[in-house]
Amino acid sequence: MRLLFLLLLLPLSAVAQPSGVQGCASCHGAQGEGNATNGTPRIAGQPQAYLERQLAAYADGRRDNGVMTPIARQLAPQERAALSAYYSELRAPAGKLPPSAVASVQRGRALAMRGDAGLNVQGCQNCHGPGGVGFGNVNPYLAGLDRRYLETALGEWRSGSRKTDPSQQMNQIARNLSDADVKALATYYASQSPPQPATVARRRP
Amino acid sequence: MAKRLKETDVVMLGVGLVGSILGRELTKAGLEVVGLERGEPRYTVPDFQGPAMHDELRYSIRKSLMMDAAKETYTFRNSAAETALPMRRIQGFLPGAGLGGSAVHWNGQTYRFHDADFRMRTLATERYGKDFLGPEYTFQDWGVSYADLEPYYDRFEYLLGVSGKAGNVQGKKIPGGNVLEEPRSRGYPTRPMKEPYGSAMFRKAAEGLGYHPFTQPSSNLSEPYTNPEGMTLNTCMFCGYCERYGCEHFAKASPQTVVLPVLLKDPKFKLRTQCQVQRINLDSSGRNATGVTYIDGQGREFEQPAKLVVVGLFALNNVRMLLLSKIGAPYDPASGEGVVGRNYSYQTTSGVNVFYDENTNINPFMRSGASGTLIADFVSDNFDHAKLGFLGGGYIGEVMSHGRPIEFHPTPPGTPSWGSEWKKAVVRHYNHTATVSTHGSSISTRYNYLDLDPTYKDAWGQPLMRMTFDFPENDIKLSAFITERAAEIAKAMGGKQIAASPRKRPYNSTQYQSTHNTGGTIMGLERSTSVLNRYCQSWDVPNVFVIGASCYPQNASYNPTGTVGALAYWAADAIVGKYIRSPGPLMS
Repeated sequence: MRLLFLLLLLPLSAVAQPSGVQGCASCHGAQGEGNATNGTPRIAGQPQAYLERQLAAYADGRRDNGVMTPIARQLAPQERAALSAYYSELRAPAGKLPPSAVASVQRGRALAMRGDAGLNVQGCQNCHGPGGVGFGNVNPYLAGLDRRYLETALGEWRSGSRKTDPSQQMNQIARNLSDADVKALATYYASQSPPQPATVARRRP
Repeated sequence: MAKRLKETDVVMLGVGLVGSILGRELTKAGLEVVGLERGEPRYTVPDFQGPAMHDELRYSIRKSLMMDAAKETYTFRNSAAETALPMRRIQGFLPGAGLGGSAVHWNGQTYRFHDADFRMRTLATERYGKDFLGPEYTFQDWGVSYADLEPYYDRFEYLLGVSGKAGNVQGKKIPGGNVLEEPRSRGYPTRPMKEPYGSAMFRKAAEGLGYHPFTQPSSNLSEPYTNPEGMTLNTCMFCGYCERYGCEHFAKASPQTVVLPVLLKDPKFKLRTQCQVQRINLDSSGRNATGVTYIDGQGREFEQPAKLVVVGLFALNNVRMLLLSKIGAPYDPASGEGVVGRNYSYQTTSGVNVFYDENTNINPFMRSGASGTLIADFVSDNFDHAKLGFLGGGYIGEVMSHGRPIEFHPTPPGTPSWGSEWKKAVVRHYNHTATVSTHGSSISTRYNYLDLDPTYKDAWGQPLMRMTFDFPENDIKLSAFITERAAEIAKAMGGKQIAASPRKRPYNSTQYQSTHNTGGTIMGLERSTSVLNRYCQSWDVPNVFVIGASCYPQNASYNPTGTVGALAYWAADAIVGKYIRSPGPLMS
């Protein structure tokens, strides 16, 4: 009973802004909606565990980014946890969906939904959820993320500079995709509506 | 009237694990091969992709990847005194249908048998005397030894990329691996799988009791691997949808992920799906096969002439194909004469549930088909049977393969089997129960056998296979002994309560136990007691080879797939190295 009571309180405490949000907002937008002009990804509503892991990875070098690495290193683990919790519950309006070439979207959708036998690549939605809305606590949503961010991320998987998947599935997949496929996937997901965070009541602890 | 097709060098019956390996080896040797598959073609992309692949109702309950029992099935009875009835639904075991066969929906548990399994009659007689078991037990030697098959096990494991830690490399014991295994020429191709929580508790308990726990060898891979065919497999994601499912991630070794794409590019291989082979045709001498007759998906009948016939169907169907084709004398249990259908055996399994308090989270959904930890201390002849009164053995392990919502709901003894109390118990115990399994051998007897059913026929008008089986006394004793040992370990795993279920008679074909059906076309050194010689070649019709678990004279402690793969390469070598050069019997 006490647990339930605490759960009901959670949304309130999650909405309270932890320190450091101003810093995030300067690039990721006031509501974590991302910034299309410089390719900063949307982070509102990403799973808390995912966001926390990314901050840890920036801090310890498993992800390498000139802007994020120094910021993540300045944050104490509790601060990273608080920021991750805050953004995971934040609702942000979908950005203006970019107009996209039809052929590219079709190829991207095919890769996302069922993969490519010739490339030995499985569909993205096996792990990232139908429509790329994310799955569980560690697999981020892709729908509605910035196209350039997605391309960069796949490039980092491919080069191996991103080391946050111990199974190496993402590295293998990115290496099997052509440049055109990477563009097609990024274009497809960027053209989809991002999911909004589930309410705390729906999310079982 | 059957349409006669152009003759081919080889016709391959079934394009599953055996068909894919043989197809590859024989086309590499320059032969033209036609592969006939009864089911449909299917591939990782698009057929095994999520979220549709995780449809438990479709794949686990309705068994979408299995033989369609509305078209063909088996009849079953516990003893020759009963009338066998057809299995209207596939429940007790899972014969796969479709390209890749049962190696698409397997769990990936990949083992090697022991020399004491291959030379069971000789070695058991040496150690325990000639009359240790009664005359009704018909276990015998395979005609091959572990040393004969070692290079072929090695080849098969490197094809699949098996993840594991060796415990005996060329006689050198390696702690942490299975130190009780037969010597292997080198270690596994990929490192062992991660250990789930329940398995870690099993390891600690087993070590505390003085046993030798090790990580289960798995063909769901622990890391990316490129095999000698140039095929790359990915890392298993521990999603818990292996057995009864295809793998969406290219992470489970199956014909589709290890060899088929290479084979299908070879112009010397022709794949024909939805082809139901009716029989192997013989010439007037009855000593030479001329090809096969099959019916395609449109109901058209074809004759495919071939110089060589290789049978690689599901084990039970290998037996049925020889009986339908009148190759070899059918076994007669009354006289003990005849060989085809003789020495059918199964697998003797049991389980012990360990129920924990609500603070111990087992997370059973976070599993892989072949993840887990086990001991081999009671496998095969690794322990002294002299005072036990039975032969054979089994492994004991926390090797849970899944925690899928429809199928996995352990409840303690005394829980009602339905209603609100049952639901409450399922919620309470789902995440707080570990299962310790035993996986035991199955000895052959003169009473367990396979023949053609006198009454029931399939959709094409051919008699169904009839199975006559019950657990032999030897295996009931084995299960009682080994389940007791499992219960001791389970007690040491720190739960609040355990519940052990040793195997009891009668065998019930409506409850899933194991897909490991063996025997019926057994290999050996003497034609009076075997269907095939040691190269899996028919004694009676030398241009017919039969490969699969149907070759086993009795079933061993471990899962059988590793040995099917080793026999496939062993037989392929005999065909390419000996038979092609001089067609005819490889043994007289």
